[in-house]
Amino acid sequence: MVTLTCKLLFPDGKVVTGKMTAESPEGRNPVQYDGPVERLSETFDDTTVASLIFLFRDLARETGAAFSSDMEGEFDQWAE
Amino acid sequence: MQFVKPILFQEAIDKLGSKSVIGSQLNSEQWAQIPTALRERAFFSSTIENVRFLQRAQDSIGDFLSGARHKVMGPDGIEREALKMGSRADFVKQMSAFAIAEGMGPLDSKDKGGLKDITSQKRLNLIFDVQTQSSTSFGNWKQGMDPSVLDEFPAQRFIREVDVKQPRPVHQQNEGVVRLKTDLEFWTAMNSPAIGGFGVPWGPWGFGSGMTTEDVDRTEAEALGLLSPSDTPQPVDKDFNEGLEASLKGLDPEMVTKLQQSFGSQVEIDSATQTARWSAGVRPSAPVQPPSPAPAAPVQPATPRPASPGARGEATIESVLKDLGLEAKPVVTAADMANLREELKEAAPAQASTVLGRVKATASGALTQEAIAEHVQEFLNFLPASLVEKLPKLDIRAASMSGRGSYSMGGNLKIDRDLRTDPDQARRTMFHELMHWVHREGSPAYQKLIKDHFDARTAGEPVVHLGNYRRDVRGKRDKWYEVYAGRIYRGEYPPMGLEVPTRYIEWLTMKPNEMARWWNDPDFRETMKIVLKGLF
Repeated sequence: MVTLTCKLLFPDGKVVTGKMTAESPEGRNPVQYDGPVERLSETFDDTTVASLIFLFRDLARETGAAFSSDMEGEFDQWAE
Repeated sequence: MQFVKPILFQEAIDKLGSKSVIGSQLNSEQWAQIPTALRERAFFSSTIENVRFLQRAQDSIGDFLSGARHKVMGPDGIEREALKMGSRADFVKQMSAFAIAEGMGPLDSKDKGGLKDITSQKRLNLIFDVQTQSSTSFGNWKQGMDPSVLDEFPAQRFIREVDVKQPRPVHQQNEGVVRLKTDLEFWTAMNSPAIGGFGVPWGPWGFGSGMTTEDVDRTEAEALGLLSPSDTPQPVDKDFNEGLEASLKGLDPEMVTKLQQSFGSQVEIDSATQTARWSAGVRPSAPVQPPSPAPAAPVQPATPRPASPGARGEATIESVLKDLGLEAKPVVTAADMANLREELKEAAPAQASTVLGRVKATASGALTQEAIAEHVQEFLNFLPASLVEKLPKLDIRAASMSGRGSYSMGGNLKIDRDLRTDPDQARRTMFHELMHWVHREGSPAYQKLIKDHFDARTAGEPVVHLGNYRRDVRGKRDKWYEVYAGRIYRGEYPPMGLEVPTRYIEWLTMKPNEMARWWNDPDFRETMKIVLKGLF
């Protein structure tokens, strides 16, 4: 099981996080957001691990926020 | 357990491969002003702008460090295995010829043969020595941070390896000094940019320093009072790397842009504080993108691809993109992607019933006989019937398995029966495995296209564990949108890029807004366009 947390740190100190857990890289899983999400032009209610990281990186570029991510654990299964 | 000397040196190879090639007019003094956090991850050479040359040099040194081999034909007509890059002399010979062929000789004839002459033995020796020393020294340092090694050999002695004409005073003062390996302050000071060093706690300790280190065991370190018998030194490699933060203040904005473009997603630029940090890095790099796409317009009806396989004419992915106005569009929208997906569908695709052989389905959910046929049909809709005709029939089994899906030659596809409760993932996994069917059983020209792309994208990269997957899942990370695309299977030689088409074709199962996000990323789009050629 992988636990992913993506974080955007805005210049004013506000932080938006998106967190999800995933058993496999192909699975879409719900994303839990926290912080002033209204600052984001788009959010995905559910998505894959790779797409959530990509979304937050893109949003960091759009908003000027600093991006960081933390991914722990291993995928249990995947399409070989 | 007694450790004599580390044997594996993957760390050194990884270190070299992790560097981004950066061509620049900057001379060595100007490069020295680039923050360590950035410079240390760059493969560059003073005043060399030619990226092809730098890439070739990096690849060649990587071949040397990894002992890479290739087949060569002997004078007796017998093919033998030989080292691709056997020595520094080989490197100098090959790179000198390459530089001359690239027209890279010195501008001023008085510089010929000297350090300013990139074709010269002197300059190429220096490049080889610094890069190999840097990589192997980092590898030594990294291995020395292994908790077991660190416990056994917690310290190192700073020693002179080679006499030099102008030793640095601070090095002379500290010759023979023993310090803990974890004493970052001391070791970084020995390699301070202020004395022409590289700002890292491993060698080389500046150009022409002549210094090196040797391990000191626990007994001696304790005798010197550096630690007590109950102390367990903790590795600091992670601390050092995570602490590398570069101030961009004072740097030429053009250089900042160039560095950002070259390092891609490896580096996070914080414009507010004008600092750069290294990211955890699982996503591919992407240059700065324009603001997000405008709200999606209604989906326009797309002209279907010609019905008859034979009447398809000259249609290519490029012509489809051109027809839709997407080839030159800087930012695509969700509607664009919905149009593209429709446009990629065949008007008269092969029918699933003609392709399916045996099917072992679940009684309910997303993997019933009907659901599997629907997944297969959805995939077939993107393929010309003439292509499908040449592929073996499919034997699909929904079964209990350790993975989500697998494909073996001859049309044998397995899918995890647990996915019957997850229709979206079942669909995505079917696309993945069916793309193996198209890629591995299909056109050799397409296989070559994928292999060439894989080789080009990953040239010089080491084979490493693909993080967040099981330890034996290895490959080349590159800037694939998802790291598994770079997987190289055990015994897969040469690497074929087997998971590139499969991972990328999953894009067709995404929602249009997600498809658009990815398509707007140049790295993603480059590979996606190549993968889509397999549908034509």
